[in-house]
Amino acid sequence: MRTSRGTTLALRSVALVYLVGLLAVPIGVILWRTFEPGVGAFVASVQTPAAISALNLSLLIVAIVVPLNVLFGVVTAIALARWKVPFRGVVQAVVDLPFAVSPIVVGVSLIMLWGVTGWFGGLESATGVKVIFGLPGMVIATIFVTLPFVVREVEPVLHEIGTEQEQAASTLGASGWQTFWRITVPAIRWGLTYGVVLTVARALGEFGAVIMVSSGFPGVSQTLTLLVHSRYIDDHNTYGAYAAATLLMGLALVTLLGMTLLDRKRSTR
Amino acid sequence: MTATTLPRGDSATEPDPPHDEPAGAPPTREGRRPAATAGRALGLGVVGLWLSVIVLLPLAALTVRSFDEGVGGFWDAVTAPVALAALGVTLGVSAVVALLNAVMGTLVAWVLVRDDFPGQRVVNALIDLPFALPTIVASIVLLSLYGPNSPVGIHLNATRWALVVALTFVTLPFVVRSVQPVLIELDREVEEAAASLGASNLTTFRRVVLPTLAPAVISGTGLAFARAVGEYGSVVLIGGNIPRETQVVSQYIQQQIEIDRPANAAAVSVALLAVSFLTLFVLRVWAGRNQRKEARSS
Repeated sequence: MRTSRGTTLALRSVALVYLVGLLAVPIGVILWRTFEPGVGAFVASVQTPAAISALNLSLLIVAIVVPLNVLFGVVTAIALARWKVPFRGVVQAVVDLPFAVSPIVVGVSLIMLWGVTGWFGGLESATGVKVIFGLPGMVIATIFVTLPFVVREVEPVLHEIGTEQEQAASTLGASGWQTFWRITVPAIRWGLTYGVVLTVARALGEFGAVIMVSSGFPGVSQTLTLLVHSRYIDDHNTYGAYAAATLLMGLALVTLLGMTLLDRKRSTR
Repeated sequence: MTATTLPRGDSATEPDPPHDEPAGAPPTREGRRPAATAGRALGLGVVGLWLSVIVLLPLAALTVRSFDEGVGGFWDAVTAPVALAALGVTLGVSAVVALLNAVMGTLVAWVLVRDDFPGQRVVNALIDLPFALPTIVASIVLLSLYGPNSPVGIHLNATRWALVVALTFVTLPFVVRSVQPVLIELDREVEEAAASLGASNLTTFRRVVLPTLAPAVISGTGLAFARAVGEYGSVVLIGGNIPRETQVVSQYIQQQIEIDRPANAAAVSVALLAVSFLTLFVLRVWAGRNQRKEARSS
């Protein structure tokens, strides 16, 4: 279909105006507002004790969630790709389920299960470990929303590489572990890395599920996203909210860049 | 109990058609060492336990506890006037957002594939930004432009238009990214044949291009709708949370938890889950039927 010059230009303009109005201008405005009082003001605003402890908490949650997701995600992917799994369709659906659940519903569900009056509420009174309104709750909420990423990135790679190399290795006398470390891990490494990057991005950015299960005290149980929210809503510190959002945006941009580079690497593997 | 309404629960077969058949030989069970079999059983147990504790048990607890006060209590919670209003606002705004995505997403995909202009690759990379950006950042980004201190004088704060803008922002990639690959693969000879037979551009688009794109457009639109229905972070700052006006379901649920009505929150959560699952389920069934139709016709 050959469109006339006029039509082409008109379509291009409409698309660009739409994207500029929806994406570029708002992001430009927030960057401008953040850096208008100078870089020093931005640095000061993201170095307050509350901001630093929020960054630390976000990174701590990432540090706990990523290894768990890698471990269980890879086992789940191997199970789905290689083993005879009873109720495979149901298992596949359960893995995708977190994508379909609203973050707020995730929070409510966790309260219903782990809260003081929940099914596992006895755990808290027996051991004194606060799940809801404590770090474990925030970790579990983050695991829920990031669970599909590693599985969904690794499983297709396992299907693609097939089992020939693994079978050859085991014919030559390699043990299960040797085959896994020498054959499977190198083959899935880029898919796994991509899944980890997606997990990190979502873990840093999760808001709805985490705010439901966090007590939200500044300096104690505030992640970076909760800090943006509380600075804007509770403290009426609009500038501080912009600055914290810009910091998060910077982290997101690094992730996006990493995703683009990895995507190229994955496809040329 | 939630398993019966899962989006993918209908398919007993492999749900991902592209990866349907492993390239190599299927794993055989002969010649396995007993240790490997035991390892697998342990692995399966671990997977089952992990998925149950993280995903299934919370949702089961939610579903069971939403009926704490019986079916009547569930029904009362879901049909409370403010809850119904929030549901209505959510569905209405999400429908508008989905339609806007269908039209503008297709247009953007078209421009990215068929047009050629300087900076196109930057624009293409920009499309993924809403997926990479935390939702609360999306909210504050839009607030800085369309909020109370708007530098351009557009005040959308606490209106339904604010909801539309916020949800359009976070769902932007769905349609673009599902239509783009189809457009790239599209056989342009058919279009040229139509043109050489005297069809106008509009006719060619309507009769040749659109039918090929339709499945991708609809699936992207459906995913955008499902995402919009449950969205919270991007609307929380700019939406205003005014009951019966701009309060969306997720905000209503959050409020019910805050005022200590967990049973109400659970019931409305189950209703919201049902809406998302139904959307995704319909999409899957429809996509499956489409694939079979295509397989028959080729």
